[in-house]
Amino acid sequence: MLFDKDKTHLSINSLPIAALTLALVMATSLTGDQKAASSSVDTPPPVTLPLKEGSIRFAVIGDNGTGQPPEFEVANQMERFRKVVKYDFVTMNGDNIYGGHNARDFQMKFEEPYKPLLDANVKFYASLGNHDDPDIERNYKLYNMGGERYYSFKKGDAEFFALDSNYMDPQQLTWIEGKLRNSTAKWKICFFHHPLFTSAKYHGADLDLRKQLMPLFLKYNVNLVLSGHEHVYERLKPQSGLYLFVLGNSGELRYHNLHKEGDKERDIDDVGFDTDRDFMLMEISGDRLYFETVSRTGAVIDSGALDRQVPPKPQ
Amino acid sequence: MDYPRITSRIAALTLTFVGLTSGIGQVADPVAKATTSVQDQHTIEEFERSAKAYLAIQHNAPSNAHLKRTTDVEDIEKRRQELKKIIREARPDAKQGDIFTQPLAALIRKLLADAMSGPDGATLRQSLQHAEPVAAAQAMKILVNRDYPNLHGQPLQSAPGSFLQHLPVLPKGLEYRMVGSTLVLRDTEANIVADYLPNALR
Repeated sequence: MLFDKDKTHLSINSLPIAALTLALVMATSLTGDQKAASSSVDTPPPVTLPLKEGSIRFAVIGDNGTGQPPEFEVANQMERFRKVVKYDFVTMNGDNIYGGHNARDFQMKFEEPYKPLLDANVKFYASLGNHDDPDIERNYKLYNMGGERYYSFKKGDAEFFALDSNYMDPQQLTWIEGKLRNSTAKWKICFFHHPLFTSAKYHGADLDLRKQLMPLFLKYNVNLVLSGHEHVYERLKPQSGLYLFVLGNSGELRYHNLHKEGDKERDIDDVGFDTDRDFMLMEISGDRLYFETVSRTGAVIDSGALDRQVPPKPQ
Repeated sequence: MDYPRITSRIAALTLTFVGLTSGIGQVADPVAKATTSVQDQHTIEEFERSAKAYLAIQHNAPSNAHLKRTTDVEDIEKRRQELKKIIREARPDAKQGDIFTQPLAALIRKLLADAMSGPDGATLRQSLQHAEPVAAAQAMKILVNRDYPNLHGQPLQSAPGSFLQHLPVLPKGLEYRMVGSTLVLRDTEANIVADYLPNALR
């Protein structure tokens, strides 16, 4: 055990999912087009984050690049919340652009939906999914990948590591081990496409990737892992103390793809949501990370706070 | 021939290379090299030379054929088309097996067979199945110097790490991809097939 579990703390507020699902189905049937969702942009959003002075604030999206109305609707909610939360960057869990990858695709599936955010100088940091064109996207400046398939960047007390889980070659493993070993950041956050754990039924967890990465994440005290690929939202139960989220439904959605509550496969989730699209907001302040997950219609699906895991003292 | 031993040696060799450089053609761990069969070492060195020669075409291309960071996607695509043209013109008669020579093909098939039947076999198989395997129809489109068949939004099948660890290290600019049971050597800048090995996985 590499984290002292007694010193980790979670405080969570999540709506009963059945009630939420019903509410969302009703909301979807009433406001199922792009215009209706945008009409809520002017009303104050239900922000649960504490918005502390000097905190690091960012949003998370995954499997978003469809160019279809739901992607725009999620983007509209992101802009609505940005006006209050004032986050200044977004991490992307991959599948940033589905289908073709010509200039028009980038406009329709990225630049147009997120135009208000881009106009407000919000930076996007992409990781690569299996539907992405790695060579175009790593060179596409608005994804801030620095021309690389995998890269890292720092924001205050946090260091972010974007990995290419499509191609976990020995070079990349050596790179991430070196980066994590030398990182002095209080918060180490890894994001990449394929989930190490999930209760979604379509692909399931990538066991080989888990075998490669989990030992490194635990050895070097990674705090948080964000993945996509499965078109659902999941807040997983901490694994060996490591916090994990799956968010792969910011554009795509695989309806009712999570195992049913009560199934043993579902035991791995603290919260799951597979009936609409969403995105996440995160705020890091000192030793605490606050999160809020918001649906396409602006409902808060999940929120809470996670305390930074305390690494064991050297013997 | 002691293939399981070779497999572990190749993995050690791989890690040594990685620690030293992002490229190939470096002197491997002498201990690893001493315990790898001379014939296999020779085969891998030959492969390294071929890969290097292939990449020299890329490196020597004029600057307008090198990918550049920009917000202009059209410009990236234009550069990639230019690079494709240069590579195709530089090796007009290239055919399957030029880089994946027969001895290398035999070695790779054996290494992969060992990987699949080894302790990682079950998770490897599961990861390959979960990696959105590219349809057999796509595999039919694999030809040397042709575009890698992902231009219309087909997903790139991911390659599990344990799988890649069993293969000789590639320099930046080339990568392995599985398309069905075919192992493709993909030029990552030009997005074309540099070579391929049918029935790499049996």
